[in-house]
Amino acid sequence: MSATRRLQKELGDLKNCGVKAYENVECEETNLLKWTVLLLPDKEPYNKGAFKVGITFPVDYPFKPPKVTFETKIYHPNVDEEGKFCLPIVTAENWKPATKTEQVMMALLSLINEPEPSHPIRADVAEEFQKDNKKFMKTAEEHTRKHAEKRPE
Amino acid sequence: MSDENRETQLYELEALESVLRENKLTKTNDWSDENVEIEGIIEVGFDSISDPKVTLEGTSKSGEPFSVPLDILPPIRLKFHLPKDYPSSSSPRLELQSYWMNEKQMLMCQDELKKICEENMMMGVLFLCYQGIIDLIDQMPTRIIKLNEAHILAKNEESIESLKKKILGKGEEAAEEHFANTLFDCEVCYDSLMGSKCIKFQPCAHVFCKSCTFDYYRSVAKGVVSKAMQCLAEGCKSEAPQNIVKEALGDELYSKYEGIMLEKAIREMDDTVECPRENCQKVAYVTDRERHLAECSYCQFSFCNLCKQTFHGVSSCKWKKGDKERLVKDWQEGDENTKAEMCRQFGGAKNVEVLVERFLNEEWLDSNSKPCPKCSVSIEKNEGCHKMHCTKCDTYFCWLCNAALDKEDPYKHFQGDGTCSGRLFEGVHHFMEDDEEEVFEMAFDDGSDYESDDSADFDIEAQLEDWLEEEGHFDDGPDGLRGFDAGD
Repeated sequence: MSATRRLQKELGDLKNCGVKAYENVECEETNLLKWTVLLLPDKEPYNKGAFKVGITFPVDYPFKPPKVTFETKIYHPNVDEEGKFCLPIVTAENWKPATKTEQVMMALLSLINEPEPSHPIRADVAEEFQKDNKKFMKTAEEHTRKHAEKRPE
Repeated sequence: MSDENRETQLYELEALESVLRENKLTKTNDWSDENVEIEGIIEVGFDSISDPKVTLEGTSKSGEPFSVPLDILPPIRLKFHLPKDYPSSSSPRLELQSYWMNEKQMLMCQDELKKICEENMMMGVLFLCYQGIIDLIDQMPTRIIKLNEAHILAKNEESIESLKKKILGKGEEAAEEHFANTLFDCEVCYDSLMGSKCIKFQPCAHVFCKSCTFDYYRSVAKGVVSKAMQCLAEGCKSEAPQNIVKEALGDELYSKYEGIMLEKAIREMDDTVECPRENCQKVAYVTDRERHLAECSYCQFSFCNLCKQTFHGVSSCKWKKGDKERLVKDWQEGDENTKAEMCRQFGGAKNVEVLVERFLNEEWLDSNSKPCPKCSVSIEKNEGCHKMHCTKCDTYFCWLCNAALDKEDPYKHFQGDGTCSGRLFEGVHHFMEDDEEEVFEMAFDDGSDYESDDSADFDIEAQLEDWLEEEGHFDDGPDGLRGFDAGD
């Protein structure tokens, strides 16, 4: 099965890539198809905390895209209350088998760092982001402090 | 001595064959026949020295200069003839054939071969000659082939065009072979595989193993999203050649996938609409724009593309109350999305425009014309008396009460003591009479010229008439009246 070898290599690469934006890359002990990654955005208002992201790979990975969701609550125009978001790189339409999890993580990070209020999932948050950015920053920062994980030392 | 030489020759050739890659050593006569001196060809390829890149330059017969990049130098052919006393006391007879070498390069190669043979008397020299040519070409300072200087051009009757074609063909062949024998890492499964088990996409040049590519295409074809079969690299839009997709999917899945993609492409075209039958909704083609006839490619339902009802030939569409008004209003006042949806529904903006125009006409006709009591065609009266004649179905009728009249004596209706009695010219105005406002209001009843009894002007829907004429549905009767041919 090509999925196992590929996932093992990707897991190794992701753990050792030395990028500071994500840490604690782990997979379930008995299930190579389920990973968690701690995302560390570097821009305000999310740079005070860490966000746990769950990645579930389909059995026919890499021919089908992984499902990625936030397990930590995040106040963001493009992420809903259940942690779901729309990332073009992992949609069925755009997915390519050579796309690496590392690329997916980088795409997710850039979405978090640079919200896209023109394609919001939470219209209310997007409106606040555009019309009252000060208030948005304050709410998001409080939300981060309250719900996000601690950033590793 | 001769037998010993023969044995040595065959042994040398066997060794050479195992060193050279497949099909590089060709027999040109029967090597097992001891009475014949061995002859053959060694193809000297240069895929190991593909750097720097090669450019093929020249001027064609018509005087047009060309410059084509080549992946690899085209191979050179080394023809050999082994005399009976080779290698013990003579050298092989050698001849070089090349499509691209110039006179100077040719001479250099010949000198080199001569030198090798002289320095290695009494030994097998074929492999040394092969290697010698490669080394010599490798030292060539530039990789620009000036085709007009090719040695073969002066010698042969070969034209520069055919030579160019041959070189490009050989170059492609050589490049393919080079690819097949190179090791690649597949970025999907992380396996290292020979090029022969891989696919190189164009024009991106990304390489993936066949197994991953095929698995991916099967997964796409079985999935819900209908998308093109592309290169497997992130964001890459290179499309796979049809034969690869076919090989990957197999006949059954391929034809299914092809059908889905075709349907998708057709849906995006202008000449197609969705079949209006609720349990079909497949792609239907507008087969006759004039008559708005559309036919579903799947269930063969023939329908009118305007009203979406079963095709009704020359009869006009029967719309539900309010539908027409809504359509006209949506087209005139709707936003971009509404209009786009309407275009899709009716198979293009042109159709909607025709429809809107027709409805606006109908609206006008409704208030300015009357239907024939027999065939319902709209008839406008712009002059003359109230005795009307429908040229479509040859019916006489009264403009005032819309009753059909006796063909033999239509004027009887305006006599006697019926409701229309004595009203044959009622309300029919002379020009320049009465005040202008009234004339304007009654414009369609205006009959300045009522000397002719039968002067009503009929306005049958223009498109219909055109079609009927075109298709020859009207027969000109003996009396010159045009009658409707109901038999069609």
